[in-house]
Amino acid sequence: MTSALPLVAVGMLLLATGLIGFYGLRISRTTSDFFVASRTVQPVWNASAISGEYLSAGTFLGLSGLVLLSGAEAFWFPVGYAAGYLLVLLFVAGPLRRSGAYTIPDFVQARLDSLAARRVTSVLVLVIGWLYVVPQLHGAALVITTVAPVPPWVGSVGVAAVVSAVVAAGGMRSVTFVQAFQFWVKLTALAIPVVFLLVVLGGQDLALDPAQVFPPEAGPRSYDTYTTASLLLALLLGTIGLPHVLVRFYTSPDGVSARWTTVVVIGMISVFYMVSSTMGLVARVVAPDLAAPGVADTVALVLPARLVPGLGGELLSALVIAGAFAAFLGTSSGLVVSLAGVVSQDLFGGTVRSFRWSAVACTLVPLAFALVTIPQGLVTSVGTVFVFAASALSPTILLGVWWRRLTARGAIAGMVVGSALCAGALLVTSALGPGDGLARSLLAQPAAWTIPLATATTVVVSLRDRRGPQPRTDRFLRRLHVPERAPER
Amino acid sequence: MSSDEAPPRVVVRSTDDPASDPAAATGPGEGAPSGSGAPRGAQASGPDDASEPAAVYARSLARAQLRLALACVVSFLAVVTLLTVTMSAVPTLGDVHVLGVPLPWLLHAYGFYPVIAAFALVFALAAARNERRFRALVEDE
Repeated sequence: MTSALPLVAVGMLLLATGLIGFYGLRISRTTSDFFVASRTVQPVWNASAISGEYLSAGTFLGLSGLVLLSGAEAFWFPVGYAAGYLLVLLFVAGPLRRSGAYTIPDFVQARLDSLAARRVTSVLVLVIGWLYVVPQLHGAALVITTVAPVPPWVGSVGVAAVVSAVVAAGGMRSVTFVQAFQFWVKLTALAIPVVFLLVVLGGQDLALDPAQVFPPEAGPRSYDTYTTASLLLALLLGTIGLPHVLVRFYTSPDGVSARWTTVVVIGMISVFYMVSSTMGLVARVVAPDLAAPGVADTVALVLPARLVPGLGGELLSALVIAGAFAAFLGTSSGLVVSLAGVVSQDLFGGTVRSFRWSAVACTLVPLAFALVTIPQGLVTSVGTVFVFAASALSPTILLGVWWRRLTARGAIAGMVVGSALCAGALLVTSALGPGDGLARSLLAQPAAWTIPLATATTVVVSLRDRRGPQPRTDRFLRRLHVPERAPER
Repeated sequence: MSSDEAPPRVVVRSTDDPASDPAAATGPGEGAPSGSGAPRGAQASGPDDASEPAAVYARSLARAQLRLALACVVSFLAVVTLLTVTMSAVPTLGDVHVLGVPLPWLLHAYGFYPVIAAFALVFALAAARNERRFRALVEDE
């Protein structure tokens, strides 16, 4: 694949992204525009933007790669990501919108009236956000090498440059438009090739042996109960702790519309995941030779050219590649907006100028990390971030919304215990390398014990805290749960 | 719950509203603070404030929403478990093929999303109904 078409497609995507970002720049003038788009974003745009930001390299390329590599087990990731949004809807969407907080640290500080709790939260948010950007940059490195004869770092650096430029230039408003646009790019860039592939496959007389292509030992019968349950728990709760999810609710006008926006998001990402899963099933039929670590994640890029001959296949490949870059850009820019918001508010008092510099800094750190680390499977790397977020932040956020006895000391203790245990388990796992047995499963999928331990720590320390909950707790909680005065929409 | 107490007002404004949050000050969610002009910083969580009917309703609304969310998550997990056991433990399903793909694979690839979407829809409707009920109670006073 050395034709110019993919480069043209990526160039057009970057041009469109730049134009939309520039258009956003012209209409964002105030500090509030920069941070939350002044809350004038229409619900469908907002839902598209949330979906555009949520669908990352992990599910655009990584899902079909992992289906090919390890079988039906891979479907747990998109199922968990979608179900994670269901838990966001059930427990935090409305209340967090009403909290008036821009970011997770803002919420923790307002809820607990504690600067120390805010600082701990900010550090964890930064770690989670950076870890989440790294696989996006790895994905860009992977794709660029299949497109052009350049070294992998060109892809990572290119994506990082575009992201920091767009975010620094336009803030939240332009990012909202960019991401809404990129959701539709991602969906069409995967859906059109999948339809073509299915039509081509349907027209062929495949001598398909299901027992070989879809062997039962790679299918649902092979699942390990503990690993599955622990992974699912992490994916379900992890979404609540992701840095870029909360700020999105702030762009809805009120709690009710924040809830409906979330329902639309669940529909949109579900459709995308079904399309991406179809790509994975097609990959097992057509490209079993690509089932090797490191190569498998490129299968979505390679399939169109294999099945559709000539120019048509090249055009479809170019489309998938443009969609992949939309995935890297969309997720990274959403994360960088949230992280830059946290850094600029925590360190520099939240001015527009400091937001711009923070955006650049928040892209450089994960870029450096991406350049010195070796890419793992994209979908599992993203999954690991969910495990960490679910252990570190989700208990504090959930208890903060629903439990009035939560104290700052309890929250800090829970966050420290959850993040330390989870990071420890994951580091030991990567140091030991692959292995089997119950102890290894416990370490490789720690969510099933780190989340309960973090929650228990938070509860016990809060209850034993002689200072008790901060005095304005009842008033704050009422604000979270009582519907706004204005009539519904 | 009729009473002849003073008309309650919904308290949604927090005194710790960050000053760095200019947009929120004019947001639709802001009601006037209750308690006949309790000064800011007076930490108006005293017993008088908490025993107002509006505050009682607000607490019962929060409890109702939590019950609803927990009921949804428990039944969702039950359906997920059922679906997972079906696709992984019923051996005969593996013999059924649709377009060459075994049924358990298809169930896992596509079967969960309609469930998730259905629960999302049901919850959003029920949560809105809880809030309408609360609003009716508060306005009835």
